[in-house]
Amino acid sequence: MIPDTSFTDMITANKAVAIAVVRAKPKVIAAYPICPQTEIVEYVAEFVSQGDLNAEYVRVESENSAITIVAAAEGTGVRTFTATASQGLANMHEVVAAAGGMRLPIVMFVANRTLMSPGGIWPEYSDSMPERDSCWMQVYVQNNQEAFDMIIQAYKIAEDSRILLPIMICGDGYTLTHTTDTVDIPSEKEVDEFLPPYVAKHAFLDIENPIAQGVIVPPSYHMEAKWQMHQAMKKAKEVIKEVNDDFASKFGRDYGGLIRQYKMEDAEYALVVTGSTSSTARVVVDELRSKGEKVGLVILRFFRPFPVTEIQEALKDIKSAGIFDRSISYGSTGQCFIEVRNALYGTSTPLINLIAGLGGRDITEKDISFMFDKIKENETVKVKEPVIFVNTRGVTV
Amino acid sequence: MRLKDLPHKSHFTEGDRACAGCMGSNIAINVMRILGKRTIVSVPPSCMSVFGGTFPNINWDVPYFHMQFANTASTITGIARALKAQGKEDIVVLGMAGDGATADMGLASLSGAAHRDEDILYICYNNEAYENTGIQASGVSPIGVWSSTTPKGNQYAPKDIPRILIAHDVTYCATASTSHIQDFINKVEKAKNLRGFRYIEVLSACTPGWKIDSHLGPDLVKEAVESGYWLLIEYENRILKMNVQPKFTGLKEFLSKQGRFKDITDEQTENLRKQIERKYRIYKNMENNNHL
Ligand SMILES: Cc1ncc(C[n+]2csc(CCOP(=O)(O)OP(=O)(O)O)c2C)c(N)n1
Ligand code: SF4
Ligand SMILES: [Mg+2]
Repeated sequence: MIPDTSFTDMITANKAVAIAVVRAKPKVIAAYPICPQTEIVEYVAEFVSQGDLNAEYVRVESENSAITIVAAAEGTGVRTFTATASQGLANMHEVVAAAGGMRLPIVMFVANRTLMSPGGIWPEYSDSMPERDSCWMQVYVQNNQEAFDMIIQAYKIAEDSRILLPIMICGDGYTLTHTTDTVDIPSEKEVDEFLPPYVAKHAFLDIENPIAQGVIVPPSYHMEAKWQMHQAMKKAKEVIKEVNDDFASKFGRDYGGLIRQYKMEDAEYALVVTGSTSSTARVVVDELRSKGEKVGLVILRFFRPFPVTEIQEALKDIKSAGIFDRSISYGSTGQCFIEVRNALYGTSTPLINLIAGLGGRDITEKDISFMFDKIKENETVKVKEPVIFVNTRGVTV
Repeated sequence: MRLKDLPHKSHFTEGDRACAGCMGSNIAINVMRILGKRTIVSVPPSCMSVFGGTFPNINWDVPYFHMQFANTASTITGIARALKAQGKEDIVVLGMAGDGATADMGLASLSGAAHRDEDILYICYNNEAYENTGIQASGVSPIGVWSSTTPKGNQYAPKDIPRILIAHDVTYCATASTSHIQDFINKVEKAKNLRGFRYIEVLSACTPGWKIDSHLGPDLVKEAVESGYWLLIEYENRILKMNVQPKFTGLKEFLSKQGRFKDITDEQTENLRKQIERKYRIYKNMENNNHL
């Protein structure tokens, strides 16, 4: 049994997420195995069966059904949970998009893993990045504690009546999902106070008040619905910050909201980084700082909604910046680069795109130092081809 | 419920935009006369999702959820589970899907829901093709039938979805035809009141898809039952029953009234006849061996 008091444990992100689910008390959970997420549905099955969590646990036959069941259950007015990765997320795609437009506040954990081909089970963002246009919020977490904390925060953000959008909590496969780290688990009572039970106030399936959801909307009404989706996503920025601050004041962990900055106060060179790579990058920044180099990090947490003004503000005095991407839109650039360059449109800050860790290739301190070398070099060189494949045979080694 | 007691009011309201003579619309009206207000319905992409579910004209006078082509059974599972979690247990959760959605892309989710004996009612209105996309053969189209993707006639035998579901040992599985209206009412009413996985497949004439005059549907589905083309069966408590004994006459006439069979060859007709008779023998065997 999971104690209802607060405790600290050395656990993987998968276990942290599963315990967060127990604390968040969803009523319907749909589960399907895929590495590196599988352990989550295993843990949750155990927690439900031993009475830690009172929920309908549906063992489905595909991810398409998993996301469908949570979407339909949300549409019926209850809190839900599911988790997936890679091919599983791709299998879900049409329902992922449907759920965004239906404004269903689903919380889903994505254990980031490369999407074939080439095949592989190791971390990359090629699974979640294609969903950036599906009207889901996306947050990329840095460590196991943040994975736990963001599951709790995610419900509060998604279910806010100003937003009502689904959210993906993305965490690096294996690096986080299968690596243990200390995680502080708040008590059931503390979480209950922060995240009360969900009471659907928006339209949901109720025989006393029949409504229709997900219907065919002809061109004469379509634009307005899409405009509202866009507004909700923009509005989410405000709510994400509010929830972050509320969480920080109650639990003492402040993630900075949409982005997090590290040693940026007087920085001249910056790396924009996501996910667990941020931890490695912090070590390198400390090292470079000890040698007198003014370097810093902008940790991109939320990718949707995209923190345009926060990025502009964080990079405004920077001489040169690099943007790390763990996936690429082939023939173009990495997706984070596209967004950051878009945010900085009209400024003259030199920008390069550092692609690393594809298919789970290790991202070492050496790689991060290499990235900073390139960022500094680019202050004067201002490369025409902004994409650099880091630690890639025949390209950079 | 006797036919004369069937309420006139249906929770699938008048004024949908189906073709004249669409039996799919007629089935929805009759199903919702029987199920009534305490129903939540989901429909996948199909003619029905268009003629009864295009904003702002929604004909469903009960909560309505439109989802995707492959996941009707999972959609209604999600609704049913959420109702259960909320302690609302006396609501019928209905999936109303075409044959394409049911027999092809949606088969995995249908099988999953049947396997878990989800508390849902799934009704397939079977017009034997993808009508909404303009008449393409589906997995349950008859042998020899014309469609826009089988210009020389369909070479494959239809999948037998009820038999697939019976192999899952489901709580309730039946076929129906509105020509045999009392049988239809009995089955829908029985399914309404049972708990667990319930499936009913109803033959549904389609004016443009079957290439018929719009008044012909009711006669044709009756002839379908009499000729053995459409068997009326019921599977409950692991017992199979055949509700109407076909006469095995009039198959040629039944086919000849439909433009979709205009170019059927003698060989295809023969294959179709053999397939129908074989299917009958399979069910008859099941009925005879119920004690096993
Ligand atoms: C994933 C997906 N593929 C294809 C379609 C296109 N589509 C919409 S309705 C339909 C045919 C529906 O056939 P059926 O289920 O038999 O219903 P009917 O229109 O015949 O009543 C198809 C193929 C779709 N909506 N979704
Ligand atoms: S095409 Fe057939 S199924 Fe579709 S609305 Fe017309 S008659 Fe009904
Ligand atoms: Mg059809």
